Amino acid sequence: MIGKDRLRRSYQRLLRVYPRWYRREWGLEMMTTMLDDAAPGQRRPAFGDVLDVLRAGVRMRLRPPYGVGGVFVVAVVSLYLALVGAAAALALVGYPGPPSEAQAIAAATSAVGIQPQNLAGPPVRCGAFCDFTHDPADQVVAYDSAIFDHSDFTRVGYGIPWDDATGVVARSRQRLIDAGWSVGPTKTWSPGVVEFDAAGAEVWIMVRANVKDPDALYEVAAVEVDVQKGFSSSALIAAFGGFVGGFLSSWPVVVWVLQRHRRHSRTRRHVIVAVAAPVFVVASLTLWAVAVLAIVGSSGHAGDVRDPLTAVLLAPQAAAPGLGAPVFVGVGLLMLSALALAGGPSRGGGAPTRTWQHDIRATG
Amino acid sequence: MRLPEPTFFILTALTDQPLHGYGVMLAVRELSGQRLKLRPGTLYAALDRLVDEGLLIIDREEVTSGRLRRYYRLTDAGAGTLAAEVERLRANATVAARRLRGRQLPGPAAAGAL
Repeated sequence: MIGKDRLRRSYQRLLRVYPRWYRREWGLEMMTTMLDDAAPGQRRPAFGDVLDVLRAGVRMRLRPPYGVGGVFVVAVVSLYLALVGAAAALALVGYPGPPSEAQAIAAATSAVGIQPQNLAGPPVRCGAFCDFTHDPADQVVAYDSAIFDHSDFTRVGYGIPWDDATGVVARSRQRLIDAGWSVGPTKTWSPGVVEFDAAGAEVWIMVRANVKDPDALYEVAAVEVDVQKGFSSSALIAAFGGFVGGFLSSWPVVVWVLQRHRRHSRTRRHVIVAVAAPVFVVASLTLWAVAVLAIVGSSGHAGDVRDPLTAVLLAPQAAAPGLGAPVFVGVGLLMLSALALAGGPSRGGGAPTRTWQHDIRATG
Repeated sequence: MRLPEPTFFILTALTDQPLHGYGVMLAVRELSGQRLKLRPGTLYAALDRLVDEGLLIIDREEVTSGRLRRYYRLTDAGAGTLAAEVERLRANATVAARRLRGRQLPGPAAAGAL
């Protein structure tokens, strides 16, 4: 009997690869079948049986219920959490900050063909915004923000005649194309602002022809070149690792929630869906925004021509200003609520009346 | 619906009478000529799925000396699915046998095909 007890305990440990709800429903029966199939005097599970049970148990933990619909829900939420993981990794590693004055001037000169004029005084450095007291004659301003850390940039202004601004932008675009930069299309914004963006080896830039506005609160240069640093390879590796880690860790959790959902009463199932639905909506919208950023590009700041991988990994930060921190906090709270609701006591559904562990101990 | 081989033999094993898990294991080994050995992970994944799909139903449970044996029974839907698969395989085999009739095959393969 000692050998049989040892074998039974080995099977008991092996069956832990299955989720608890599955062991409650099938564990005793599987144990019985494995013991029935054991050879006389067998003390350890057969290697083939171990592999088979491990494979089936892992698959049970990772396989979404509810067919194609379940797979879709799990994939959307897991991809969303993967993007959150990438953003978290990037935030931990740290963004590169705005380029130095020299680097920004070099990039702007590559585009416009001439150095900026009227550089007077020390370099100006602002947070997310500059107050209105900054010296309008200083044409190089660095924006270094803690909130929008992912989009810190340095702006180089050119005091050229206003009616030549659009022509300068057009010639800059051609100059960069000839120099081998990755150049985006020219965009026009009301009331006549013209701009394009381009990616070089180490920086991204946006070249813009402004419109003279006599009623503006502060002066702007006729042509502005916004320069952003590229990301280091270690930052991209960290972001990729955050993405993969986020996806691999969230998939089994979301599958668990769906599997638990099946085992609850109808009322509890409806409550879980009501709580989790906003999470799914936010996840879907974020993935949609990421797809648009990666494939089509977005308006606004430098970096629209960054490669799709970088765009995807940076998208949570890019999407966040639009959605706002309260949405992220709300989504997080709803996720925790859904987890708590799903993890509560279920109605069972077909399980034997006695627990399998109790029966194992009682076997003579 | 095309059936994987283990599923085919599980349904076949249950055509005559309800069987418990170990009984299904032994029956599948015998029906497949010892070619197919169902291991517990694969067996119970299949049984779980087939019960979910309504092709099998739990006939009864027996608890003896702390061991639980559930007996599975083939439903009408399961029998229909199995019959459809048999027809599909039979049609495929007939087509292949007809094409092989004119070809020289060595030894036992010739007798089996024709």
